[in-house]
Amino acid sequence: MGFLVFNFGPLLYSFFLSLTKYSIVREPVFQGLDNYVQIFTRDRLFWVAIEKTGYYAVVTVVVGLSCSLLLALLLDQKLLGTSLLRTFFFMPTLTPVVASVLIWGWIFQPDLGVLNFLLRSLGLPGPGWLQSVEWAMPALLVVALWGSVGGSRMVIFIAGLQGIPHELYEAAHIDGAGLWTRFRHVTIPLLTPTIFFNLVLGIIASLSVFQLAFVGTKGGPANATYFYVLHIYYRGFADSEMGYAAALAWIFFAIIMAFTGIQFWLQKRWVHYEGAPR
Amino acid sequence: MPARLFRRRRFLAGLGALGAAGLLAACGGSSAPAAAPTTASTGSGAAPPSAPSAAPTTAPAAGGAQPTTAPAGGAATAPAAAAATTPAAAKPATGGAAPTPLRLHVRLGAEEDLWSQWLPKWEQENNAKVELVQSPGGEHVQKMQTLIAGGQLGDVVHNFTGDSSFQLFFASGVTIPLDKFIADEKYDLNQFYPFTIAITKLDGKVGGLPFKGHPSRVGIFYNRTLLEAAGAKVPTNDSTYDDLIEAAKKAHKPDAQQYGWSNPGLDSEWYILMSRFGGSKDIYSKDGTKSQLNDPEVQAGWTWTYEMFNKHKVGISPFSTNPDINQLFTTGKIALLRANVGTKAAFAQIKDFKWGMSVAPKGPKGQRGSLSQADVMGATKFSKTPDVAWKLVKGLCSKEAGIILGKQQGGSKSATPGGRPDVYESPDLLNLPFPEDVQKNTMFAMQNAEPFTQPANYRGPEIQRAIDPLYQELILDKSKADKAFYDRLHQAVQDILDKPKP
Repeated sequence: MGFLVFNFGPLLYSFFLSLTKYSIVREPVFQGLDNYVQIFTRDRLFWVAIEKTGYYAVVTVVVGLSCSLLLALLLDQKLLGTSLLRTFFFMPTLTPVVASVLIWGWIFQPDLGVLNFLLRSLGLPGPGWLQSVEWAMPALLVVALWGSVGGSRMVIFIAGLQGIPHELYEAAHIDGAGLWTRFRHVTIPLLTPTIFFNLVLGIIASLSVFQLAFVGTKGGPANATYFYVLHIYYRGFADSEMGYAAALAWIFFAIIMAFTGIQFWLQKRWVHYEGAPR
Repeated sequence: MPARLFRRRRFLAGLGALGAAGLLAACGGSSAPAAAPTTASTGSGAAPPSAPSAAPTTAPAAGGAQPTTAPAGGAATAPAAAAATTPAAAKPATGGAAPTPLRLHVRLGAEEDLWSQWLPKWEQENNAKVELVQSPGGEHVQKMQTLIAGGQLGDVVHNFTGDSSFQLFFASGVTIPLDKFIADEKYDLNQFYPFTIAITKLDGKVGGLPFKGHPSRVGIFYNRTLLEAAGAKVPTNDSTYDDLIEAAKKAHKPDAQQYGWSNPGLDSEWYILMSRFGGSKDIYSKDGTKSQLNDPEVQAGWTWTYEMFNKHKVGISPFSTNPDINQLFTTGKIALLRANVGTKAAFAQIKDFKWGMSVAPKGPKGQRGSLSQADVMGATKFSKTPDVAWKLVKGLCSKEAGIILGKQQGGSKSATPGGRPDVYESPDLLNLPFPEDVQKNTMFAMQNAEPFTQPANYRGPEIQRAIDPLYQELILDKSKADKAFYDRLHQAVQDILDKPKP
């Protein structure tokens, strides 16, 4: 009942709003599919937001997942101080996004920031980072990856790695498999359910990026970091076009559902569940 | 084959029934708060001003936003907290009338001295209890919009002419016309600067009183120590734009982390000021329906700013947020900074160098391109005691309150005073310990200010967001200040001006 009242009800209502002109301060007026037509035909920023969000999602998912896996492999060794290192790498995840963006903002400051100071001392010209059209997105990606690589994704990978039976490694070793072969033919196949899980959540989380740009760049400079959820927020709350924002949100929902559906469809080809019929 | 307990049809029918029940429950949940605005709107604007109600007509809406900060006021605070939730409990022991509860929506931090120094006294004099609902400045309007959607807005709201929130609230009936109160009381609107009253009217009706007024970003803040050390001329009110360029050139030494010039980054006020540079023309036509960005006179200020950064190369990027340009000025790294005159409050603590503020020079057409804005206090249709709400609006826009605002210093407090000549010209403010002629020039700027016009369809924020990226392109030298750029800028603004009102 809680789901119906607090989730499903508002969900349906937001779909109704997406078919209306609704400025919050006035009653919604039904206008059919006008909002959807406008989004696809006249909203230039919609396509900008799609492009920027797509770029961000691809990099954070591919680089983020790879780095998290690498880190998990390194921290899965039974060496002295491993627990301490795990804690150390997990710590950035505990930092609120807003705080980390503010701190990184100081680091990235082109004229007075520590990063460009270091680059200058090496004889390299520092870029404008968050104030540069070309570098703003890479700078945000650094902040995002700093805060996520060692986080829950890494912990889930470590749990997945620890769930792989040791006998399989021993058997492969006896068969003469080297480090890479064992990783390629034992670790990766048995880790695919974990990779799949992290992939699904990673794509959803990266497509929903908001705080980084809202606090760090407001979508700029020159729309270089104008993400989709930022577009929804601005259209709804700054422009008082809540019906339009609801339509944007439903398109976003459809995009995420499509991506997730495709992944579930594709997973049959590459995810290996131990004990599952082949 | 065993009979299946759940068949698909049964499951779907059950799901449908649950959905319907959920919807009914969701609809049922909203009926309670909806009652408040319905009742309140009956009296909106029509209620004649009268003495404070003898008793509260209602308790503050249950489940409404809670005050984030109780009004400071020493002993008054404890009973205040009680009154906010259970007005009856606050009834004086002597059997006198209980204070009328009011909810006031304001920004967090920006006007703190008013709530501690003035509000408790007003409450006592008017037998009212004001619940402050504070939200961070950046989300203040959004918070109020959300409360409007839920029918939970309070009695009095702080809104703005600069971001179209005043226009949107008043045009849609969220805030009520004050004309009847004004006429019945013969309340004198001449006590305010005329342009502040002009911009708080829509279709001839007064939608609020000017709580604060300022001439916007016409202050040229200077670091005297830095300029004199560089052998540059310190600006005065008689300086020209060429003088500013020359001074900035001399003071600009990026290797020593010392910068000649900066100005606001993203801000619609700033764009309009730039556009007025060449002759008092705004981005928009007088009726707010046409873009004038295709006019070379309007483009002149944009070109001047472009050249400051990219031809003379004497500026530090205005897009720095950490630290922002005000912080950079405070640390003595910027020689000249064009900023809102109210920014002086943030500079009041500077001890390491001498600083001051002159007023922006006149442009080629002899206009200073000033720009007046008002923060507005309005009474809402949600108020069940509009007469008491009106009293609070009046009080908040009084001389006494305006002076307290102007005396605020430090932190996130705004030093923008009340929008009244008797506040700006008050010895209380003129004699504040600001350096050089800062206070005198603030008054001078206000006396010469012109109003900040808004687009006719109240789409100011949308226009700002269309201009922001293009302005960034210009300052970052990704686009030249040429015809192609201005054509794009003009079209982007016109496209939004052509839209209907939200």
